[in-house]
Amino acid sequence: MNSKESIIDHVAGKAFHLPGNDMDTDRIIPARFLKCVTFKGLGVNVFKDDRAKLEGKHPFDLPENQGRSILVVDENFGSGSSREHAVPALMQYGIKAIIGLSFAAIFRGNAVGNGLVCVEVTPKQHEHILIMLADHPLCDVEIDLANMLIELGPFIQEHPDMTPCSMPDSHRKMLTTGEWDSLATALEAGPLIEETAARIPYMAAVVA
Amino acid sequence: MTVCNMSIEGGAQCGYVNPDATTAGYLFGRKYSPEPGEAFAKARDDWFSLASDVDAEFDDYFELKGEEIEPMMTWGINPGESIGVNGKIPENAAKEALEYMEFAAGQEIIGEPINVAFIGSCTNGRITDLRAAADLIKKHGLRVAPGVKALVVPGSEQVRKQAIAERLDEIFVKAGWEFREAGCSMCLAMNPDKLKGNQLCASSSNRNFKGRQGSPTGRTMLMSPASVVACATRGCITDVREILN
Ligand code: SF4
Repeated sequence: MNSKESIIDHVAGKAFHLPGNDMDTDRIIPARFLKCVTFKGLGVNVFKDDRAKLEGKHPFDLPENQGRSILVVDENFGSGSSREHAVPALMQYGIKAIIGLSFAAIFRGNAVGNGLVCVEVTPKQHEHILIMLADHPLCDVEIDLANMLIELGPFIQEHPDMTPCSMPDSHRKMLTTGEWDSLATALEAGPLIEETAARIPYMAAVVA
Repeated sequence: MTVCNMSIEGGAQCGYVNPDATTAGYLFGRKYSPEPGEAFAKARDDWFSLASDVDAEFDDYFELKGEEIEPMMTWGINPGESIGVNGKIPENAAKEALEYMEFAAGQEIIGEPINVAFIGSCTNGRITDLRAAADLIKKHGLRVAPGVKALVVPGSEQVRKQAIAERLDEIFVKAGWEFREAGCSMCLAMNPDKLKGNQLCASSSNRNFKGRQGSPTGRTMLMSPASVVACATRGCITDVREILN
């Protein structure tokens, strides 16, 4: 295992829109599902209460959205509690990347730490993407982190539909080098890990 | 602390108050603080060196006069959806928030009946909050209104011990409040302290998101601990200044 294997420089899939500003983490994963030791099993409860209320009509339940891995959101996605669980809940549902007008800072930090891509677009670009998706709901969507472009298509080969997007440089670097995967990065230190452990009194016994 | 904590709800990455004599006074003689004397003086100088310089430049300035701020409360489903207690819900209020809270645009919030009153959370569960609440209850002989479930949950074990040492717990219990173990309690409802159905809660915590207090349809109105006491006493949304005067 090394961080090279964790490199994320593009995400491709089909996309769908979840309308609404200020989607807080309590809505993404209600508190009663947080009593887990590992993050396993969070995915089925993503947006639990919103989905129950809409009885099958929530974007996460619409049959046509099943299997789509790119989520388009509006403003301030992931606001509220700093619960990391919101990120694995979305990822276990199958979301690999989120395109939004803006993200709450803590959510976005948790996202990069778990390898979930969050890119920002301007209101104009956002509108363009939504119009394209309304007209071509099944078009391929590719987020290219090397060039920070969102490509929708394939339409006319000579004129690919490209929309610029952004994310903090530090996040982009972590994703495109694989360093976001802190465990893999730590393991790259190899024998240094045991050397260090041997120096730490309470670890020495375990290593020896 | 409340200001720092709520800055984050306002979208800030950090909420900060410059260290000053109040900070040093609070830390003096505390368990994990440097020993009073030279060690403390050295640490204090170090803390003070972190304060913004007098000629520091800021992008923006807001000057607020605390005494001019009406007691504020939320009427919606995020902390920004708030008004003064005597105010009206904005005409252009978000439909989703109104539907969830079962309120109408343009309506007043004062007099709205509550089911639960909660004093606690990391934002408003300090000893000073408990003292302020207990003081109000004692001075004005307040009791929890019939039918209202009222909880006091200290923000930490230390705060709880201190409150008991000052016999604040007795004041609360006598007035009809439950005085509970320290913790988050009804701030996020991971223990059995939860709203039921669409109950309305006057809460001193920091978040009023949909379902935050444990019921998917539960309704939260955020306010100061003093306002929670006033609402618990009257059984409805109340301007605490009516009790004070
Ligand atoms: S859940 Fe606990 S730590 Fe989090 S905001 Fe509420 S009281 Fe503070």
